Formats: sequence, structure tokens, C-alpha cells
Amino acid sequence: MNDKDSALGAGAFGPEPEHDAELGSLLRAVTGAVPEGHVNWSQLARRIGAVIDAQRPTPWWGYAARWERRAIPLALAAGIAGALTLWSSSAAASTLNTTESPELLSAIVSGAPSTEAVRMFARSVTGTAEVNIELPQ
Amino acid sequence: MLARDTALVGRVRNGDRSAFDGLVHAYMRQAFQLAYRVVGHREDAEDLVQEAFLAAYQYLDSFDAARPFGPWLMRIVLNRGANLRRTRARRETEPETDAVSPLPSALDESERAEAREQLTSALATLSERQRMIVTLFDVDGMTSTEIGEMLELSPGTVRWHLHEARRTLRGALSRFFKGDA
Repeated sequence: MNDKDSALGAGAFGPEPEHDAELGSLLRAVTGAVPEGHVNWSQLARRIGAVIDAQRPTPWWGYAARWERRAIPLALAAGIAGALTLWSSSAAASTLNTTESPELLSAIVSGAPSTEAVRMFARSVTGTAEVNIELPQ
Repeated sequence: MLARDTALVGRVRNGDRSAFDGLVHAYMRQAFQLAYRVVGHREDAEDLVQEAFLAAYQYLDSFDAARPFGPWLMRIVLNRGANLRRTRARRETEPETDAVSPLPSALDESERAEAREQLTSALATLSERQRMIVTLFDVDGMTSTEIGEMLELSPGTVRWHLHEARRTLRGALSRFFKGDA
């Protein structure tokens, strides 16, 4: 029991008072009845649920789920691009490997003229038997 | 009710978000009733209910699950409602037309208008707490125990405020009451 109860007993210590219908009617006329009939309760419940869901911290799998629609095609595209790059670079490497590099190397080491060395190099890269190359003097 | 609330709160704390919907369905109407009494406007009251449930969800860890959920939620409604009312002071606060009940039919038109005017003035002289208590008790039919739980007052204190509020209002409107001089 608090001080207010002890200091002002009128009304506080008695039994539960009756509802005052007369005063209630006047009050209702001024304050209005609670318009419960105008509330769409299921919609309000959904609204509350939605706002709570929007405020909740997202767990890591939530981010994964949010991004999966975009991440999977992107990863697929990146994989294909990487595979193509690897394939083309290995094809180029195999082209170089098939050159007559020992012949070219021995020609250079043995002091072949530069025009001949260049011609041999060009032939090894292009695969063309004869390449006309004019070197500046 | 307490056991149900405790179980639902426990589930929410363990990460079951859907369990909170059970609390929403259980207390939404009561929260709206109080919210409407605080803000006096249906849409504002719905916003307030939404805000109060969101706050309850966010601060659920600080809630003592050994106590009933309803009064705790109603205190949030009251506290948030006071803020909302301040920030939306410009909005119309008159009750919605279709929510207004007719005055006692014994009064003629001019008397009704006068009674309404005097009652509005008398209500304005009450403290916010007394206005809330007399409205919740005599208009919405709540008990002093229920009101006390919401307002964190003992039932005796609620009854004292009710007594004082009624005395003020009946004094201002004495000539409209049959039994009063």
C-alpha cells in the first residue's frame, strides 16, 4: 500500500465500485467508443509481423539466400569465362611448344644472320613456310 | 494465460519468431483499446500498437517471463503513446464520427451540446492518469486490477483516482444527472 492509499482512503479501500453507466454514457459521447469494428485485425497482425521481420538482424545464411539468385549465374559466368581463358592460353602455349624451337635456338646460337633467325621465328609462330621480311638496315 | 505467455516468450527467445504471432493475436485488441484511449484516433492507434509490439519484440530479453506479458505490453503502449501524441499533435484528435455514441436520450439537443461542452472542459481539468482511469473503467468496462496492472498502480490507487475523477466530472455535470442536485 502506498502513501496515496493511506492518505486518501475514500474510494481506495472500498470494494470494487460499480461501473457508472450514466457517466460512462456521457463520457462515451465525448471520447467515443473504441472503433474495434473498423479494424482489420488479421491485416494489423500481418503488418506487425512484417515490420518485426524487417527489423530482425539477418543471419549469414539469410544473406546467402538473398544473393543466391544473382550469385549463381554470376559464378557460372565467371567459371565459364575462366575456363575459356585457360583453354585459349593453353592452346597458345601448345602452339608455341610445337614450334621448331630447337632449330631456331641452334640457329641463333650458331650465329645465323638476323634475317634468317627472324624468318625462322616467324615461320614457327605462323606455320607459313616462307615469310617475306624486310629488316631495316 | 501466464503459462501460455511464458511458453510463447520462451520460444521467441529461442529463435522461434512465429511464436511472437501468438502474443500478437492474444493482446492485439487490448493494446488497440488502450492505444485508442491514448491517441484518440484509429490509424494512430494502429500505428501505436504496431510500434509497441515491435518494441516488445526488440526488448523481449529484458522482460521478466515470470510475469504476465499483457501489462508489460500495455505499459509500452502508454509510454510510446505519450511520445506519439506529442509528435502528431497536429493531427485531428477528435473522435471519429462513427465511433461517437449518442448522449442519453433524455437530454434534448441543446442540453446534449452543453453537456458535451462541459464534460470536455471537465475532462481537461483532470490529470492524464485520472482521465485514462475513468475512461477505461466507466467507458471500456475494465476493472481496477486490470487498469492497475497496465498503469503500474495498486488497485486501491486506481480506485482513488477513479473516485476523484468521478467527483470532478459529476460536479461539473451535476444538473445533467438525474440523481444529483
